[in-house]
Amino acid sequence: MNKKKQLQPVSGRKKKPTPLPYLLLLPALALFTAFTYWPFLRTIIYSFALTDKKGNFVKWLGIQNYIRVFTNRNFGTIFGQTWYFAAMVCIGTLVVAMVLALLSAEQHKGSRVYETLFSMPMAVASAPAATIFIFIMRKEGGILNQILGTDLSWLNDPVFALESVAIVTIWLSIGSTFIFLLVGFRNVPIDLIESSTLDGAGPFRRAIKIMIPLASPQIFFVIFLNITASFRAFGQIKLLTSGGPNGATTTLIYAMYENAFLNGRYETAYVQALILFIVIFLVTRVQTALEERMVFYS
Amino acid sequence: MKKKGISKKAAKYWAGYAVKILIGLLICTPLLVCFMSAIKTEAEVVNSLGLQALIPPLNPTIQNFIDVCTKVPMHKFLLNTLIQCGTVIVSQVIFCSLAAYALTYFDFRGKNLLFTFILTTMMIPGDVVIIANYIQIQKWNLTNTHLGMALPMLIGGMGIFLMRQYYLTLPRDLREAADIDGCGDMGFFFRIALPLSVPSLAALSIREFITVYNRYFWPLLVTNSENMRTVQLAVAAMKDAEFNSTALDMACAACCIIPVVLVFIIGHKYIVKGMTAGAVKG
Repeated sequence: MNKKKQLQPVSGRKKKPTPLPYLLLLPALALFTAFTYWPFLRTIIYSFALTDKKGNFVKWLGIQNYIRVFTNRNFGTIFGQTWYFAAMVCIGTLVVAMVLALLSAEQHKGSRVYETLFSMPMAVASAPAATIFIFIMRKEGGILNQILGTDLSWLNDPVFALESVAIVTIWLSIGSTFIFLLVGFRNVPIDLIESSTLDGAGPFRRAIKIMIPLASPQIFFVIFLNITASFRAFGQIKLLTSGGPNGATTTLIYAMYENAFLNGRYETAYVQALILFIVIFLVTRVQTALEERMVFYS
Repeated sequence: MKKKGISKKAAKYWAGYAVKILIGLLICTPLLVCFMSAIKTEAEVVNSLGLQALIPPLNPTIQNFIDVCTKVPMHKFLLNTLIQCGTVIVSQVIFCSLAAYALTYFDFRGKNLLFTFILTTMMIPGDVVIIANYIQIQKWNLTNTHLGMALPMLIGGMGIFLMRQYYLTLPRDLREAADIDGCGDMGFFFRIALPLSVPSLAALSIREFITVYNRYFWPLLVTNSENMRTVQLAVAAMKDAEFNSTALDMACAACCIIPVVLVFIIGHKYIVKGMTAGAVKG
């Protein structure tokens, strides 16, 4: 993703300076300033202050908010659940989407049909998905219980609630992950696949030795994409379990929502928003650092 | 001998095709559950144990859809969502194109700085600043308005990046030829660059349509009147036991899913393009 390397202008003509490019950029810059940078700055500032029930500044508190958030006895649980959830979503989505993408790696006439079916869940939002999965995961006569032969109230069981929300999130994410992986597998040069087939490699061996290593940039990309996306998963948590039972499905972003909009503790929510930012930022840094070392570019 | 080989290959191909379609249907099982339950009576839905939920009813009914639409103004919720999608798409198409055009075809002071300024916004997820944005919208008295709901989405770093990637592929000669023909800077934009970029604009638009259509967190915060409810909020409200009927919940969810799934199927090609353009190098 080295975007900065391509900064040369398309036409190298020398012209006298005009205000036109600034004018063209003005709406974009104004909107970014107003709705990304300025609120980000306010989030930082207010995380050091006391706010009232409407989110207005009351007085400075220094790092007291941070101390309170980090020493809260639930913080470790919430933080751990956030990462556990991310791991489940990331691995589950990768495995399912990888199988689907390997199955459809070869492009045929009519392959559009199953490609569309495989990626369809990405068009569905968390709200209707919640309605459907509450029905699928219900205790009495639910499909999941029938298939697994269990008798669980999946979403209300403290042990399985987070896993259940992860299953829904995996279902919502397989579509986009599938598309990215498919692009990776289709980029594998056809003669490489053919020569390995001539050498007697079966489909399984071909996938392990050729397809997956050559698609490593895309695989790498979707792993991190799903980690950061799971940190931002909100709708399904709110609608399936509301962070419960007993906080079992409360992740960082849900705790942030709860503090700001249910408890009126905006300053605590600001601190949690910044922790969320830092976690996502660090994960992205790790991604860039590892990408340079590990990914195989042909 | 040769002919037999081909037919064997064809048989293998069709068997593989059928298996893939079956797996595809398996992936879409939750959607089938939703559509099947939406055309059953409440008693049938409640009594369909396990996989029976996938079996179509003997007497399909559209009564659930009629009930949903008479009990809540579904058309209004859908209209609200479509107004949001339209506003965001128009705004992003215009502002992202203009910004990308400036960054591709002009040399000016501070260009690298401004480009970094735009790319850095992609490092700050909307969810991190959602509370601060909510407080701001509230201060401006824009809660429960379409403007307030759309404002933070009116521009996107990804859109600018996507458009710039496209403009970079346009040959230089085109710009020079247009120059010689006396086409000004804006003339080139409106007459050549913009019309040529229609496929990229379509990719951007469909991407934004699905994102805005499926948005839940932000509309939840900035609206509380039923007048401003979006489809997603309507489905959520329905689920939270306004009528306490699974069949109605499913019909409402189906109303929400059908338009976006149609757009998804029709625009599948553009969705792939919009997602993968410049996302991964290699």
